[in-house]
Amino acid sequence: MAISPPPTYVRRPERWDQPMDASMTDADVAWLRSRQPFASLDSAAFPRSTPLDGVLRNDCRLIRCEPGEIIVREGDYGSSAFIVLAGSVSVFVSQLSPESLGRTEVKTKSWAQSLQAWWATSRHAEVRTAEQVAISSGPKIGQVDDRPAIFMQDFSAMIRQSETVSLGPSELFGEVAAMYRTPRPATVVAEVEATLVEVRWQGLRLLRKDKRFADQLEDHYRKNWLRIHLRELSLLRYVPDDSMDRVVKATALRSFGRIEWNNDFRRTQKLTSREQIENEPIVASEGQFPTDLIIVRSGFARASRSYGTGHQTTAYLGAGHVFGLAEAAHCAFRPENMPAMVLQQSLRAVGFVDTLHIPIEVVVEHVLPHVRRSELPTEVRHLAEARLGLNGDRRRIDRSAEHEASRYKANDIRVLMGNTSDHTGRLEFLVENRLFNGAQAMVIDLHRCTRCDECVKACASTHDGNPRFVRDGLQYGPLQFVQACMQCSDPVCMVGCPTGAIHRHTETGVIQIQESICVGCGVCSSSCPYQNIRMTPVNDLKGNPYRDSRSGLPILKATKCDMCQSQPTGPACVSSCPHDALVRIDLTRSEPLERWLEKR
Amino acid sequence: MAREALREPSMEIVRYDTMKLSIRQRRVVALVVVISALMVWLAGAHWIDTTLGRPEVYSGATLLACLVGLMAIGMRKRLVVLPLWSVSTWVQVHIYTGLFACIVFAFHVPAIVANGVFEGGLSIMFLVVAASGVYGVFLSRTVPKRLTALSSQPRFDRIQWHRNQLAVAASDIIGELADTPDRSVVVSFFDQSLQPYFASSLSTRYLLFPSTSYRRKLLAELMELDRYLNSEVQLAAKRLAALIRHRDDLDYQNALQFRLRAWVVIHGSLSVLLIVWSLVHAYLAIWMHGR
Amino acid sequence: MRRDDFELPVAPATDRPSDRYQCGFSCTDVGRTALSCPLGPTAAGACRHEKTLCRPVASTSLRSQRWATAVVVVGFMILIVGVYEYGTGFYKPGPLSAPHSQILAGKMGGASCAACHPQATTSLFGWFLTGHDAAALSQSDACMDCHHNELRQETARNAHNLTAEQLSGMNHGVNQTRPVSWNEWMLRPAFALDDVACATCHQEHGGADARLTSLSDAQCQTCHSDRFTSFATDHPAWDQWPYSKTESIAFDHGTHAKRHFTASKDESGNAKPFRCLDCHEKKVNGEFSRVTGYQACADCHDKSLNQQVGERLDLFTLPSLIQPRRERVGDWPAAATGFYDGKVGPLARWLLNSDPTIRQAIATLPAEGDYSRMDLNNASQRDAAETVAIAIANFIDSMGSKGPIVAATEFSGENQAMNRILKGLSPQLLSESSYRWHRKVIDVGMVGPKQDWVRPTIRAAAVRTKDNDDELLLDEDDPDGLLQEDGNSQEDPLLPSPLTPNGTLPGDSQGELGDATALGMKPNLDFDPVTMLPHGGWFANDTRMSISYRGYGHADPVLQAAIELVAGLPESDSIRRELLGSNPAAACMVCHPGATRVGAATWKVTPSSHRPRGAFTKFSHSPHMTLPVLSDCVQCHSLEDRDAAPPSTGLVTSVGNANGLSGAHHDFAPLQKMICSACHTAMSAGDECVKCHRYHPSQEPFSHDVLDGAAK
Repeated sequence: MAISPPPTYVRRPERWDQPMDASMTDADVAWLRSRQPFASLDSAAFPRSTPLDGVLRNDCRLIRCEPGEIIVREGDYGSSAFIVLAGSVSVFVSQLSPESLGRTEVKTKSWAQSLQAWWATSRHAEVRTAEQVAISSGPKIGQVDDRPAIFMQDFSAMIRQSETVSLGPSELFGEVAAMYRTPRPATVVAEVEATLVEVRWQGLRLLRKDKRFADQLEDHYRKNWLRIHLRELSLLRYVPDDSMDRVVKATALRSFGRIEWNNDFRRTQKLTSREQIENEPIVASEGQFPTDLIIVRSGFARASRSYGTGHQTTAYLGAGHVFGLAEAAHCAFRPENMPAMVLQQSLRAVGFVDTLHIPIEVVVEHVLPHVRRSELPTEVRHLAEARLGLNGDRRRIDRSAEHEASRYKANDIRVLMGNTSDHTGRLEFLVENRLFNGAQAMVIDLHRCTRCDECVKACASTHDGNPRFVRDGLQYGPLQFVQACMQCSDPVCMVGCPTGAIHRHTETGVIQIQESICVGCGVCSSSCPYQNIRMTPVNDLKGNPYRDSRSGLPILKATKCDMCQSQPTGPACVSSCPHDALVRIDLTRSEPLERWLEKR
Repeated sequence: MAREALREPSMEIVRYDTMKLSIRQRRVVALVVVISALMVWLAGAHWIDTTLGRPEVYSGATLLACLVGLMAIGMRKRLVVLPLWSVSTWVQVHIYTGLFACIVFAFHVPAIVANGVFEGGLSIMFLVVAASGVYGVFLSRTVPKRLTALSSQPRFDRIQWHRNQLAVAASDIIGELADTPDRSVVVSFFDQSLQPYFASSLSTRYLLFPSTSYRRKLLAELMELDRYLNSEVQLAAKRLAALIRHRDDLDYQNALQFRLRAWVVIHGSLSVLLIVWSLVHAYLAIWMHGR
Repeated sequence: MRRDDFELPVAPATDRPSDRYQCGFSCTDVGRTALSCPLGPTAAGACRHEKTLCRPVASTSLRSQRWATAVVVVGFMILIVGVYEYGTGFYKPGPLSAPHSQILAGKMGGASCAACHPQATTSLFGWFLTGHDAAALSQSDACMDCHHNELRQETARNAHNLTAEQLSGMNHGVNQTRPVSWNEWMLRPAFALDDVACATCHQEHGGADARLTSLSDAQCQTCHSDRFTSFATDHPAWDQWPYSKTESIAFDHGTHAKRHFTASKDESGNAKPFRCLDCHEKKVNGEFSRVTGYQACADCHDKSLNQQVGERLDLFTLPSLIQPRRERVGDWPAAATGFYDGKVGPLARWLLNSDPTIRQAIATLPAEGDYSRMDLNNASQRDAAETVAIAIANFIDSMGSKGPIVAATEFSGENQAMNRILKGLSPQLLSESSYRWHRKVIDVGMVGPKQDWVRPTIRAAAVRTKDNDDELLLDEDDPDGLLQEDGNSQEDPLLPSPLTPNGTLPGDSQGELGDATALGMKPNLDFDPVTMLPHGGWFANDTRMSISYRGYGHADPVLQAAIELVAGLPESDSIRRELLGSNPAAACMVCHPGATRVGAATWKVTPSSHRPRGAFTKFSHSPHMTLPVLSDCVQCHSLEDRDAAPPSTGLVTSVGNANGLSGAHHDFAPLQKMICSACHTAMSAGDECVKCHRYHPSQEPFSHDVLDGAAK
């Protein structure tokens, strides 16, 4: 006896509900319009719904940087680009030492050290030494107009030592990271007192309405990186350079969804899964004739086919995955009399996805001829075989490269087409909860877990008595996806850290927090879609809380799972599980989890 | 420069997984190892016996060594900071060493329970430890499934907290009721049976022998009231019913998780005693042996 | 989520599992426990909030610790209390075997342990303090305190209780016959051969019904490293076991079974069956008598034996001389005068030989004193003849006057055998006879014999007459109570005399003595020992003028003594040959070749095998006899096939030579190993070493031939 509740009426949220900087005034906008590059923008190119001024007011922010202030750090993820208005900034071409950014390299402890640490475990919670709480050497943390800023230590010396490029007024930097969700390519520091305008990625999108600005944005990417990205695809690895030029030229760059998907995720989580799918921006829809071969460059997308009255997820695609290959191949190899094949599935952006679109004619002409038969989707392979009869030199090439092809695993093609699974329910669950983001998610098999909490104890004993997770989290069947940091492949937590305290280890990909420069702003914690980062008040050795000398507020530090990087054991939670119930596993691909489950 | 800059973090993902073999394979391997170890051991025992040596010393020494090895897992659990294989590996070794030790024990003792306070106590202790071990294996293989089947997976330390939450939620439901004539029916029932139920903590009886009888009793009584209620209060009653189910699930979780923890305590503490007694026994045996 | 369902709120993520205390969730403001308790309680277990009613509770880990500690502490208490209260009585490694448990009767605690464990004399903590000290009394010593009867203290701890050289000797013997095998390198004993603790094999605390003495083959083979897979295949065959020729008795099962018994006829005319059990009857212990008494033989042999034994054995015979020269021989009985005749018997010779002159004289006589073959023209022989004759006559007189034993002892020294011979010979018989032979006419009125004849003395020592002896004799002399043939005369002189069957009527004797020579001779002439002495005894023959003995039945003492008398003499000695040659002695020697065995002369049956039965082996008939098929002895003990065996063996030989020393051959076919191994397999009757073998040799002390035997 379900009683239908009365509807509750709300106002649909609109663009620019939350401007980037509420303090932007018309004066600021007018001033901006007077400066390059905005002065040369053609305001007529902008639609009425999103006028240029609106963009400048809502999606931009003026910031003043003091000399030596670190604006962006290499390896950071950011969602905004910067344009120099006054003064100059210098881009460090060569990689900087982590110390110069206030980060200390984590060193694996020796047995003796870890034993000693274990022995000296504090009786109090979250105990820190003074230097752990506030950075003593290296960069200083200061306030620049009530925002925390981190300054490079003896900046002039650093300039002299390392190779730098100086950027002056009207020059743009950080746009690639902002638009394509790639790590910042280089560290940028203010040389002198400089004024910058920070444009968030939505703004950049809108600004592309201006042709020249758009070219300025895209050319950079095409010239330097698009070719490399395409080359990285196993599908295109045999394409000769001249054909590749054509491909690069023809490829279109598209983005779907919002880069801060984590904010929407909180909201969409409350919806039913059906509503969730329908809310997702659609990239290509089932039943239409294929126009492009779609390659996911970053973010995540879900392939689904309509099933009953809803949509059934058939696969989730991450960076490097290809959509519509079968259809494209079908077009290429089908006999004339055979009708073309329509798209079998829809592609939807899960949160945010950044795609490359290669027009199908280019694919047919320049790509497919250089694709190994073994890598073609099974359903079109026989067509290709049929075609081979006519084409002799193809066969020769094939033979010459057989051994080459054999290096690729049999399921290459499966991987190429995205992560599928026979277990649809689990697939849906992973996608719905964005768990595919986790590169080292903690998964517990509840059918073997005796709830002994040895994992938590182990985590505590490796972290001075403070466990970095609790054995709690989403559950699907016997699988519990524990709320421990998954070291996401798309680390939204790293977006917007003011001091770069939270950063990703370049080798292991583990996301770690440099507590000494963590200002406790809680941006990372609040932006983590899985609530796996906790802001914890820290205490001194006697267990008394540290308090800020100025505000008197307790000092907070962001804490999360660090994969026991400093321990000789590897993740203690795994090694301490008595019943093989717990595993740290890569969910960005569906294969590892399935392998693991097969074994039990 | 661009190429350098492009380097995305190489996600060379190490999979941290303690299982190299599937559980079935592992079992087979372990059994094979145990059996072959037993063969070798028996050969040794026979050899010593036929040389008119002292097989009881041999088996005793083996037992003592096994005991020490079996005890070591306790140390390992506390020293998770050291990379000495995974605890699960230790557990497997522990289980099968225990099995081995039981068989050696059978060869060692003249009677399953020796006469004499000391030796009798010793053998009883061994048997209890072994039995608790078997019981533990049984528990840890069966109980988790039963736990997983329940509605929620509370942590042992937090169950009391959840109980409080339920109590609060229950009183809220009652509090939110509009003042209708049928309200009093539910309220009176709440006051006399539900409120004490939610306020109570877990009874020892339930802890040891969990049963859903009381839960069913309450639910039945609550449903009885249904005919006196209108739809609004009926909904409230259904909410209360849900709370009762949750409460019972919590108690059941509590009881089962308690079992899973209790046996370890017994097993562990007795094994400490066991090794002390057996050391004394070993000393006596060697010292008293006729020569 | 259904509207009427309820979802548990998310719990605060604040547990520090290793903490001792956790939030009690009992804040008055329950909402706060959810939200503002991320801190949890202090390490000391106090709530961090200033004003609160929450009492933090012990965390799971702390509670587990408490329980564990409690259990351990209790256990320790039990241990300590047990040790202090009950002391060593606290430990009881296992019940003792029934016999040993009796040792502990009434002993308590440490004392009961100390009964066998010398270490236990100190307290538990004493043991911890004092380490092993080798000097202390060992447990095996404690065993020996009681078991010194079975074993010798000094060799108790040696392998097989053998000394090192004994052992090495045996090993030597073994090694020569044994091929080197792989297992020599495999199993070595876990102890020194000269230090085998009792507990090595005898494991106590196995309970009342534990077999303390059990020993597995494999354990035997610790030292005996040859692999015995089975008794049938690997055990060495034995040569003569279990038989051994008894050399003291000549008995041939073969001939008895095949010839004598089959030939025999009982009253119903059937042949008597040859049944083992008739002779070897079952003893109380279930075994069978190895030897049987004479009574078993008596049925068939008594008659013939009595016949042979009944023939006379002369002690003295007065030789008859041709014209005895009065100056030499004095008065010589007329009846003994005529042609040379008579013989000096072996016994007489034995006695007389002790005097050199007489021995000389006897030696001079032909054929060791056969007068009938005298050379008339030989003067020396004639002198010798007379010398011997006188000596004999005198000896008879002195025996008669002094008593035979005294006289014999005086003349030829003490000799047990001779004493036993003469024991039953009464002086009266001698003096009476002598008197009759020498007397002249005497008036009847005269009382008592009177020596009224003269005879020169050859040797002063030899013949001396004592008047007071005569007086005694006179006083003692009872004309009625004539001579006794047995040694009881002193006790009862009134027994009827063999010489005078109607001796109870002295008048008659007087009457018979009426006429001179004829009358004197007459009754004696009639004397027939066969009828007069049916059960044997001494008698005089007046015709031959001899003092003779008639034996009777089995084990006649005089004959035994006679045989023993000469047994010591060299075989060449004529006395020995003559005596043993005489029928009565020969009759004995037929079955008793052992009686004259040099060194160990014996009448008894002594298994003379060099192999000591039961040193290392044991055998019991009784379990075997329970099997119907085995109850017939010949199943195992089959008689040797004579045709196959050399005819020179067995009874034939032992009868053939009078000393009866045959080879160590017996008349049974050697017992084949397969006879045993037929049943004694691991499957059926069992073929463990200890079925037949002992670890501790049963016979102590050892002789070396024992060991050699054991080695073979």
